[in-house]
Amino acid sequence: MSDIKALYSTKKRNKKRFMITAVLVLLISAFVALCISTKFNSPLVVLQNYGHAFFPSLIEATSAVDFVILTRIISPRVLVAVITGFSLGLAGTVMQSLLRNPLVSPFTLGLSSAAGFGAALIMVVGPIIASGLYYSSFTFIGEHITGANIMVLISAFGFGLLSMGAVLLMCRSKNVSQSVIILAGVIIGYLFQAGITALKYISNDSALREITIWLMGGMWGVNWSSCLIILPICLMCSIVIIRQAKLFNVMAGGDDVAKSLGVDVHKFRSRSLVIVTLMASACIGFTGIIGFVGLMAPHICRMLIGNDHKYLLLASGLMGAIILLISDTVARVIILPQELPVGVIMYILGGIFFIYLITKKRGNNLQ
Amino acid sequence: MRMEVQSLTQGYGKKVIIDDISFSIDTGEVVSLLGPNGSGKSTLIRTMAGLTTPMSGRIMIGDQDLADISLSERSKIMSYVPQSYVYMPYTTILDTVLSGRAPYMSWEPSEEDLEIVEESLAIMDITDLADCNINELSGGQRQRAFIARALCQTPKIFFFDEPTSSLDLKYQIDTMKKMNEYVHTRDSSLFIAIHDINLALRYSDRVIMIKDGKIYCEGKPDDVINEQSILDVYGVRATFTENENGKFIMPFDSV
Repeated sequence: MSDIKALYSTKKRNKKRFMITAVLVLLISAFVALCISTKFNSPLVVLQNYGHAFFPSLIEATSAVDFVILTRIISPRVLVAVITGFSLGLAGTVMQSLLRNPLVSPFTLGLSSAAGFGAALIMVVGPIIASGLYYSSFTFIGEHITGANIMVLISAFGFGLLSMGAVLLMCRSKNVSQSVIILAGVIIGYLFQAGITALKYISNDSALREITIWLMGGMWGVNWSSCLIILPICLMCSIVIIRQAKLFNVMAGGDDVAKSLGVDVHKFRSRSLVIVTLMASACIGFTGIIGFVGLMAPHICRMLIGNDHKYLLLASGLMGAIILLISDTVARVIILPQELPVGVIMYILGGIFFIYLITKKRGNNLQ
Repeated sequence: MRMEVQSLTQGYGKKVIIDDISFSIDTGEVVSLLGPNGSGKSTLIRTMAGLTTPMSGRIMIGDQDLADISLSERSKIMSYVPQSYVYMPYTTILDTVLSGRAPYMSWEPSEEDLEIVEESLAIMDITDLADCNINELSGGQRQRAFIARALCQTPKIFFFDEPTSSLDLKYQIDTMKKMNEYVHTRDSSLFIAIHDINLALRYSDRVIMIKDGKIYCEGKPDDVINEQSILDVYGVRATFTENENGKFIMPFDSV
């Protein structure tokens, strides 16, 4: 075998090993997260209660309370943390690759604030202007999905798209610098933050409380209905994105080179941004604003396995899921019996990581 | 594959940069494009590479109009190396060069794709850098990787926009020599914007000199590059000397 073929297969093997390790770490983290409710349960308790869920006539639950907490509260929470972390990690990688800027992410580009504003807007004005729809509900696979859920999703996506459109418009010039892209995102983020503040100001007591808690970013409001909405959206979006891995590799060479390699650059960029905006907005609509996962996950994976998107996209998703799930689990236990919003932990972790990125001289490609 | 530029006009907004230019490039030819800064070299190259739509005129590839050829078909016929380099950190040289096979690849590269990558890396003398991250290399090493990526496309026509500008003396000569050999032995052609007159004299089959968006002169390098054309096009006084290796320019003053 030639040197290059041998190098390629060694690299490929290493990337696959990384993926397998990431999946194992995620599974272990998920199991540990399931073991923690209001107290630390032994793994056997979790297994027995899951056994009861699947084979009720064969296996008894340890207690009705344990069973309900595990299957109705902890399980959907863990699943939403995994989906949200995966989606934000993937969305961050896509944004970084399309804009060739390692500092962009759904959070730093203002998408999180925009989607957050969209969701908060429905929470405040939804019950007033469309109360019938807002309080309506229907059953899907045994779970109640409310009109409010759907309205929040659509509004978060709509405002998310608006923010991405604004970023693309501000960065239209060919010679726009990397820092200007970040500044554009920061400005858009501020505008929507102003909108959120205005909404808080005009909202009544119950809406204000709902928005304030939701904005901190956390998994406490999620249930199986949330999973039923965001899982299919995020799954489909992820498949569409990962199937185009080859085109993301080509985009690394710049717009002109990508076009000469057969990519319709503007169409590909707009389409991919719409898809990741949908994924990220859907998650943000249910979990609130969770910053920096989409910044950290791609960067860590790029450092570990390189920039081949055939592996990087999936790896970043897995890394995002691991980061968010572990952070959420820590948030649940760090001040027991209370819990901390996971958004707080992400801000601390992300802030430190961001400082590391902008102060690091080599490899950040900032001009 | 013969390429023919017919009455091409190109610009930005209403400003005309390239004004009604016509010429052709034949298979197996290295054609150098010479002209001062702002004369429209990059605009012409980008238009011919299909990256921008001309204001008027046609570009024919064989007997097909470039406008009628899809992007994916074009990517197998022509490749482009830009003047400025863009990259993402932590991309290895191997992955960078391999991305040149994108028009031919599905998910994983085939044995043939990897053989072509290996050959391209060897031509550009960067095989030992294959595992290095692109952000850890010098500008010249990166530029050689980008040329290797273009070679990987195995196109019929190469468009290079001042690709030797960040290379050291050895690699400027080496790159031009190897590209000249490649084009002559593989039935392809190279259209290259270049600032180094001596490289153009030595390694081109034909030279096109442009000034203010129009062709000033066109022909064999020894015939068209002379004291008068350098003075008219660049505003530089120069003398020429000749030895067994050919003709060389010695610029000495600007006007």
